[in-house]
Amino acid sequence: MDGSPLITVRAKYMLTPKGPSIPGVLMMAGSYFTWTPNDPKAASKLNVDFMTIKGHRFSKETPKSRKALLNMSTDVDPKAEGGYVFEFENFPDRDACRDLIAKILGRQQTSKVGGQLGSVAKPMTPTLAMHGEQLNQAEMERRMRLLKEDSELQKLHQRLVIGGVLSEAEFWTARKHVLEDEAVRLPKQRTGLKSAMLADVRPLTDGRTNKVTFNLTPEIIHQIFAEKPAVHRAFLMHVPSKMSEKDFWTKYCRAEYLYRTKNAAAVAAEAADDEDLAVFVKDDDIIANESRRKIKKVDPTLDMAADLADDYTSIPGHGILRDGSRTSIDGSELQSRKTIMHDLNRHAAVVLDGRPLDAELRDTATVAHALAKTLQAEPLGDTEGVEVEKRRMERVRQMTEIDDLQGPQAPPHSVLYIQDPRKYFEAQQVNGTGGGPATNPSKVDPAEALKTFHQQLNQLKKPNLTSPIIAPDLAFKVLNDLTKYISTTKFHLGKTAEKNVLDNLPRSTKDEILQHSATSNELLRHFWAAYPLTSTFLVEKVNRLKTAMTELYSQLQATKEAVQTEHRHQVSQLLQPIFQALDAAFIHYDTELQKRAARNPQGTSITSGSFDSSNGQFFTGNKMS
Amino acid sequence: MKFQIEGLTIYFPYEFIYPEQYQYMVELKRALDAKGHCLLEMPTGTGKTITLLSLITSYQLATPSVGKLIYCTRTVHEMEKVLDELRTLQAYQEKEIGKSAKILALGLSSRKNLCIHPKVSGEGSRESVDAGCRKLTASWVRAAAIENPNIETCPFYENYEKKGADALLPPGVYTLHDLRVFGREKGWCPYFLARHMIQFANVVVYNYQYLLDPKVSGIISREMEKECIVVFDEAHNIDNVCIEALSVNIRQQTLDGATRNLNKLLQTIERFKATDANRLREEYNRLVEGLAQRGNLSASDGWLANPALPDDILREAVPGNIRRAEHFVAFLRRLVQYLKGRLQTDKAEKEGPVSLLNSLNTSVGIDQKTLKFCYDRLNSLLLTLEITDIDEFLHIQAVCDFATLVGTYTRGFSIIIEPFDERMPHIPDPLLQLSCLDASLAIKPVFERFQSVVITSGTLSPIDLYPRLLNFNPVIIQSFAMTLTRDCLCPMVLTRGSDQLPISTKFDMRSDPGVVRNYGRLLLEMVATVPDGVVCFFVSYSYMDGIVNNWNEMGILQEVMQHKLVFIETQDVVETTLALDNYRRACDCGRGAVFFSVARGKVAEGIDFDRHYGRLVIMFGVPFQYTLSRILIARLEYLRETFQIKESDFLTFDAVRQAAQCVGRVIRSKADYGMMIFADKRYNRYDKRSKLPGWILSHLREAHLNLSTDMALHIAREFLRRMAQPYDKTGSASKMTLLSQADLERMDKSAPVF
Repeated sequence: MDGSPLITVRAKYMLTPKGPSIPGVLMMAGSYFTWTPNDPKAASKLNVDFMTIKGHRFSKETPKSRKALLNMSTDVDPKAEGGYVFEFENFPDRDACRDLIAKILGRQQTSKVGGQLGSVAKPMTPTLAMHGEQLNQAEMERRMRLLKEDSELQKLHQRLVIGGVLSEAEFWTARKHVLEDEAVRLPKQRTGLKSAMLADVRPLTDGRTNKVTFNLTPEIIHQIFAEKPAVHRAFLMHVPSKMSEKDFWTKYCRAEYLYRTKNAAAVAAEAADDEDLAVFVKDDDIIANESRRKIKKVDPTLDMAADLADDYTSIPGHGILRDGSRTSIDGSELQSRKTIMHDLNRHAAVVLDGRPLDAELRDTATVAHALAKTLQAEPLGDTEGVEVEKRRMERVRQMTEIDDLQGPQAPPHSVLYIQDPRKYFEAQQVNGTGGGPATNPSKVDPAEALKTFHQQLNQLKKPNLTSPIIAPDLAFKVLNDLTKYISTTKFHLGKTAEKNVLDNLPRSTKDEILQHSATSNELLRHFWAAYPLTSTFLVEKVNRLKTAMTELYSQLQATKEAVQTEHRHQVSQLLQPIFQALDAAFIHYDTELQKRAARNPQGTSITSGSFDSSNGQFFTGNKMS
Repeated sequence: MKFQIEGLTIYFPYEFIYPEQYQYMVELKRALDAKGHCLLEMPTGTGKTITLLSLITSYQLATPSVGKLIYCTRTVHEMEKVLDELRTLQAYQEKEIGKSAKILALGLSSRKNLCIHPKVSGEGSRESVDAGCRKLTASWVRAAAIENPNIETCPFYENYEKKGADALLPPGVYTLHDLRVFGREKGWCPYFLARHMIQFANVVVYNYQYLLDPKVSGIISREMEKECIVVFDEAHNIDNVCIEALSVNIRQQTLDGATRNLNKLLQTIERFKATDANRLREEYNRLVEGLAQRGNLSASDGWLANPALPDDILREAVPGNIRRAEHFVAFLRRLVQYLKGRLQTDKAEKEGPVSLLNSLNTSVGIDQKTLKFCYDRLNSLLLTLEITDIDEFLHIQAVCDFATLVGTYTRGFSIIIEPFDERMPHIPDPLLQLSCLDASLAIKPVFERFQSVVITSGTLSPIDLYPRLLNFNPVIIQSFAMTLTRDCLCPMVLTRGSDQLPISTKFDMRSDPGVVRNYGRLLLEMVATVPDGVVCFFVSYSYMDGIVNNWNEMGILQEVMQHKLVFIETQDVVETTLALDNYRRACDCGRGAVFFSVARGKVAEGIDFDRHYGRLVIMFGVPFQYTLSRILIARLEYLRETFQIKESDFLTFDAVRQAAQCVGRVIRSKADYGMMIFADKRYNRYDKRSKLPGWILSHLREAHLNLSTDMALHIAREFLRRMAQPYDKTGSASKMTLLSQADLERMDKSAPVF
């Protein structure tokens, strides 16, 4: 099929997306496409192999823009320039081309990747990127991730979408909730940072020479950068423009070492000499900024900073200064004392924020830049003020309520909502009287009612009420038989893992059955969802699905026959519901077909005709929204 | 639930009530009926606040003659909590009774917490916000702005003023945050609105100091009626607050600043003389008539009021020798000069106000009466000179504050001059400390003015000491026990480390490496055993600092960090707040954390470590005050002479109440549980231990005394395992720990009528 053109349409070729367009004819075959201009002088003929095409984009059909555009790009990034832009005369033409390209590209990708990995599990993910619907990056990533995480889903996707039974969009519309959940779900739990203070590097001495060694790994460096913004800033500023990385860390370790040996004066002196070193020491402004930002979001029930404003004894000159309960610490002493406590708090805060870099920790420069990027991205988080406020209030409430004084919580039942109570209860009443004549009770003569009641009572009054209905020993036996199972399961429960029929089967059979059942479910869902058939598109879809189901049916049969005799019974039992469901679908399909034929003999012939010719492969149709 | 106490209908917003809450209400109601003061101790974790609020608002509903409820808290965050509980209560009452139960309740704080002006509110400290506000709202600034539109005013204040009497808050419960939101919505200044609305409010929640500190109470609380009910919650430290409110310290920097201020004042006076001599003359006339005239100043001009003047003095004429502005400045110059001279001493001195007055009189000719007027005279001058950057003048204000206090009180104060700090003798830092010794002085006006004052806390033991310290006669003194459904409290006294060596923070032992290591091992073992949050309290900042450094060097800290994150209280409030916030997050997310804090510090005073935020508190050492402090010695002497309280008794009482306060933060309701470790061998002694509040003592079993680290570890494991079991909330039939409405009704019927 590679040789013959699959689609031939009129399309204008545009040299640039915004530029002028040249009318011509576009022909698409299995592995290449050609475009011939109407006016041979206007432009040269194009003949492009699909192998060079990496992605494609197209315009949405909106009332505003009526231009049916298709952009086949030669670059992986669909947004990049460079590619072939065609303008079609109408959307159906364009869509046909688009679907074709999507399939071809998809096949290319799978064969390429599949060749590398072996054909067992072909990753479907790349196809997604190529797929025709205008997807934003995030949406595509989400789908890819879902497929990657769920191998079942991936198999299904491979079979149905790549197999051409369902289109990409159809496949995902049924899984909208999964996608939404995925979108809502917080980023997957990531491993946080370690509690240990890595940034607190301890020097190693070899004991013989007067040399100390510091070991820094990228992980440690990341923590140093996160906890000491000044060092991070200095690194970004000086390395590699002013000094080499090695020099930088040597300086840093020197400063650290001096601190550790409690030689604050030496640090100060050195800092005075060396302006680069001075930046290590001064990080107050960055941290102050950060804390100013954070203090606004703090839980009001522990906001001690707000107390300061009510504390009139803290005015200088008021209150008792030196009574021993308070210690006044002077500036110089404060500096050296502050460090350890300050470092501890700072470290814990950084660990809690827990932002491990997404980038691989390889060399220092990447670490530094990645950290800078995450830090820049962060202030955007401040915008959702209302949300923060709500959470804040929620926490106050949690802090004030006394939970055990509260009454028992109402169980979280949803209230039964009856739209039309009269209808509901009347229906109940009819049921209750066993479908007997619904006489209006108000019209019944009381005497008659009493009589009926007496009659009923007499019927009940059998003389031998005391004698047993069945023989006791027999009753006991039946009871025993019935409860034996209950007692044994109760006894075994939790002691042995629950046996599943499937577990007895060979692994390959089991997998096959599971996959078949998933596929049949998916197909059936789409099949039933397509009814009633209101448009030709749906008719086609149903036809496609029916073919797929027939195929599946035969596959199931084959599976059933292939299993070994000892399991055959079990397997056939397992498959029974699937067969039944499929049969039901077929019957429905046939009756529907007959009905339609009876109503509109022409219409049916057209649909069945198109079904035959298309063979479920390349099909012109619009997407389900 | 709704129930009756001696004929009064109580609305309580929960479905159950603890028996002690019910008892508390009964006692409180009796005190209110008797129109007297009361002293109530109820353990933490029994819902004191909601009990108080519920009874008093119900009382207000039943007897309209009762005035407003003035609820004093120590901190802003407690204020928020109280208002939040009140909101729940209010919603319940409204549901039960309808619109007639609507009340107005609001919190009040300083401008710093209420200002919504975009520029002014961004200022750093309270003083600069106050000054920034004054620059925009002072009467003369606004008058000038009418003529000259280029002068900036505060749009929020202007809007509020324009509305005049119509600017009202609709009934409801307003936290500081709500006030700001409301202010923004209407474009009114929340601070002035709140201050205005106080007179209409049914419940006002604010800081202690708005009632106790004369500098602020004169402005904020002047117009409160006698029938008000005043509540001091968490009042175990109230004596210290009172003392702090009336103490002044003067250092070299203060005096230097004061001199600068005086120069500036003089310059301004000269300028006014040249341009607007009338103003100064007007002021002179006003001073002849007496300070009471201050009352007709506009609201925004009201500043810190007189620290301690009774009303009658305010009507007296200001002494002639300081009536003229330049004379007053010269007078202050003499005073500052004298004080500078006194600071130039090389040995510590201590004297009483009387001898200081004598010396002032003989050496610089300053008499007591003139001193008394200093503070008001200064404020009058600052107003006359139209000075807006009031934050610059704090130094001279401190000096005037000192002068007024010395001039007013001859008893209960002591003046201490120290050339350097005892613990840092090599750094000269002269200090003149006017120290108030008598807590009753500051609180006396409150007891006299208001009909009912309720003093309550979780730790008021020994409860009979407080009436003596504060010099008042409560009609009810009651300490409530805690009924527990299960033994959810586990206090332990740890006296030895794993190596059986005694541990203590006694001065001669605290720096012993063995003790430091044993404390470290204790922490390490506990951190590895106890889930979620662990809180540690140390006796002082310097001790904590030292031991943390030691642990860091020994590697203990690193080992602790393998189990939990470490957070530390520092002297920087912002950093501490963030550390606390992070601590809670660490507990919430399950990583677990340790918080190092200091007894008597800000965290120990007001932050709760309930539920998973605190499963264990370790009190490292006994938080005694620094006994060599001259101020403390002076206070102890005074207490012995005046109230016959023994020094050692007071010291132990003070230390133990601080320790109890620290450990008490761990539990909030009966569903909660927590352990408390008193790690010092001195706690084992009966005289120390017995001073602990009853609700801790009753759970301190004999078997939990005199433990070593490994024994404590064993008990902790056992306890945690026990607490993890499910239990019946309501308690067994013989020991009811939760009462429902039906239970209360049954009790009411069976109880004898009083």
